[in-house]
Amino acid sequence: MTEVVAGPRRHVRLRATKEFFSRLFERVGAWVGVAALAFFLILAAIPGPIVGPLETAATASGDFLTPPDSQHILGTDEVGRDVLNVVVHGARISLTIALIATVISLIVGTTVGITSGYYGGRVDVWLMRLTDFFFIVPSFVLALVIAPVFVEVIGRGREVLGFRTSLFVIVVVIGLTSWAFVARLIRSQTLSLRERPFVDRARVAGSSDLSIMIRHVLPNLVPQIAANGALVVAGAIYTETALSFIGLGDPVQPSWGTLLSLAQQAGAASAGAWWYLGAPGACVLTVSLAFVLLGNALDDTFNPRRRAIP
Amino acid sequence: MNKLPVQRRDVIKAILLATTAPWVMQSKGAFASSCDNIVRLGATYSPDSMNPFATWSSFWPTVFTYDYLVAVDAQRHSDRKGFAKEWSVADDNLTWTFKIWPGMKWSDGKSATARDAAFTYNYLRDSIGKPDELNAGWNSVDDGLKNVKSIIALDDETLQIVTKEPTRWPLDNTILIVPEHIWEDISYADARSTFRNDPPLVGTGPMIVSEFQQGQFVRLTPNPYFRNGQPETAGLILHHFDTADPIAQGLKSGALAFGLGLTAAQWADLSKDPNIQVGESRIEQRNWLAFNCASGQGEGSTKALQDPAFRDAIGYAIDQKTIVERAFRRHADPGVGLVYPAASDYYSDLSDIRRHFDLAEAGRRLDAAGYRDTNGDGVREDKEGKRFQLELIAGTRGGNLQIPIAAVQLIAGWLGQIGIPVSVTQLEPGALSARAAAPAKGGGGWDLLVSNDWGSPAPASLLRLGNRALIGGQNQSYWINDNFNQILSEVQVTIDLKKSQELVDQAARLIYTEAPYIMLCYPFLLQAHRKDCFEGWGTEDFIWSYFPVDRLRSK
Repeated sequence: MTEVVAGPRRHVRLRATKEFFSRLFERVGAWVGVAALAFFLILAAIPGPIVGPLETAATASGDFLTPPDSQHILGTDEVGRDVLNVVVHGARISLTIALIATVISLIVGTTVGITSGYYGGRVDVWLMRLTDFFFIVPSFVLALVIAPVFVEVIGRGREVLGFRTSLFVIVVVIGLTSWAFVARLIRSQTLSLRERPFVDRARVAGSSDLSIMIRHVLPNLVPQIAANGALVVAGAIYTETALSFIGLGDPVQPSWGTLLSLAQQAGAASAGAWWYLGAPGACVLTVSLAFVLLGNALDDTFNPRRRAIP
Repeated sequence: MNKLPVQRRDVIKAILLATTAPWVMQSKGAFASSCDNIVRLGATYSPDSMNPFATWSSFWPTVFTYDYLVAVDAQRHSDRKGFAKEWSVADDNLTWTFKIWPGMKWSDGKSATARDAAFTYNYLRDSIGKPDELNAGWNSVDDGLKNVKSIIALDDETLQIVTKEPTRWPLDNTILIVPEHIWEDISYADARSTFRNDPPLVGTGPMIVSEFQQGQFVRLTPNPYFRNGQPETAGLILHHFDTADPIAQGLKSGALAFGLGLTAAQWADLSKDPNIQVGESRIEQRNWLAFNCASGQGEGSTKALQDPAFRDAIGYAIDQKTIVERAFRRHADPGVGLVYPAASDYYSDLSDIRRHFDLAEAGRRLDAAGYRDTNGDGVREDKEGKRFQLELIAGTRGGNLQIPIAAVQLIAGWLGQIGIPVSVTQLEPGALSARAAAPAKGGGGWDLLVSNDWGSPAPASLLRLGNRALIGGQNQSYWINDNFNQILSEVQVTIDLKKSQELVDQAARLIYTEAPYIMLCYPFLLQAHRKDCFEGWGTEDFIWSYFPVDRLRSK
């Protein structure tokens, strides 16, 4: 019996997914975004085979700030490290931070949004006032204040979930400061969803509130979450870069922001070392642009209103 | 009708062009014509007041306006003198007599006499022990001043300082002499905080501060009454920047004539420019790695830090030569002991007791001291059986030259290789002084500290890293040693250079063996000046006095 029902349902899902992707990839932006992301994800996944182990000041072999040549395709930095090497290794840290921070942000935002929209009333009021707080305070400034406090509380030198504390702090801080607009969006969508007949039907059938939220409301929110998630990543990369740039990152594990910060401290701009500032800068720009393009394409595909207008 | 938007756009373009054109042309003019006989300097710090009693940060403009009595440069260079023309000490080594320049005048035309010098010293001295003791700025009460018995002006041209114990302080002190007729009405409470000493200042130096825009620039005008004659330049503007980038750019474009505090990369780049002369000078800064030697309150994560054998072993894992070559690109002397090469009277390379870089030797010494890796996970354990995981904090005090992060990376790398993992946190100056404060004041808790200090060539300054009275201030390792302090108090009351050298050497060897600090290097100050407009730039010792702004001439 279940087999008979599951077969066609799976089939329907498969067809819907296929249709979705074919519509998504009608857009050039989606192609560009996915291609750029795939490229950087490969870099982040296997930096070792591509450029060898991370060079440090101790293992650096090059001369100081040499322009790009055949040996160092992107030149060297102020201690003689190959810029290509550190930028590729930086990809891993920057992307990991951005993606995990986004996951945190989406989980918090979605939870707050669904709870608030579904229950309404006093719960809604309080949760939304909390959201307003995070909305109004500029997230970068908030992150700036929270980061050192967090480091102080957690303590340095330990590894949390495989991250050095200073990186973990950046992840958590970005995650906790960028969920507000996700929560708002999810809430508004939930407000409309909870009035739909299938929610009433589930309630009549005896489902609990939690089960309705997770099994009936949440799946209908996936488009919004996916589209906004991509935009949150772009923001997270910027925030990470900015926080590291002003010296709150981990100086030993180079992310792109840390590299930019090091380049600035070394006076790369005025010494004419464009490759040192340019390489991590271009990476930040490309990745966040890719996420924005992908996010917009997803939004266009999911959103029936925007789809209607050719 | 269809053409209207285009026309409108053209109009707007024209308006924009018309409004920006004068601005562009004006700014071009301002940058291009630097040969207007005004010397433009660039530096990366920012004074918050022109009152030398209230701030440390106004040193560079005020040192052009006020004189020391003698201080460092006048002892090193015969052509750079301070408030005093000549000086002598009586046979008892206690009574110093200073001859003030006859007929010297303040920049407002009033005569500058020994009474002004006596006033300045007594102004500080009388504040000792009061609630508003003057200890907040460049002109501060110090140990030397407490050792003074009397400071009196015998006549307009003779100042006498009598000390309780023999000391070279009357020569070495860096107190700026201020005019009595301005400062006599300023209360101590005002002098150490709210009195901003607004321009125009009144001083005896070659250039007088005449305008101060906080965070932007200080304008100085030549002192018509300067004792060697009014400087030939039309004035001087000191620009303040947050980073060294605009300084390097300003030198290239001609907007600045002289820049200090350049990075190695900028220095190398500027050295290729035919219009620019680069230079480097030894300064009294030392960069070091300090261990947290405190026990009890404020102590580090392991008791090993309090063990000299452990610290000594770490000393073998630090390669000063590589730090100088990789992180400083050779713009530094490799670190040895407390004494920096700039203090040439006292410097010694301690070659007979010097540690050499050898990671295997460091490992052997750690094994011998009882810090082994017993469970074979690549990380050593301390005597309580706890895995080492040291917290290294790094930061630069305001006004000092930055320590490149590569130096910290190198240290963390070497310690990791001998089985002592290190986590690194970089701190900005405010956070650094909070964490490195005395344990009694809430500081401590860290394990290793990479930082620096900038002293003077005087013995008290050389040895201050180990001075127990300065814990949390200049003594950043919280290290306490009675023998060391014994030597220190002896040095402070010694005038004879030879004896003083012996004592400093003794102290330097003691602290080197005990190793609360590992010296990393003594960085050079990198500077550059343009060759096209002015001549008379010297080559060395830019930092201790008004030199060379008194002798610059336009070409």
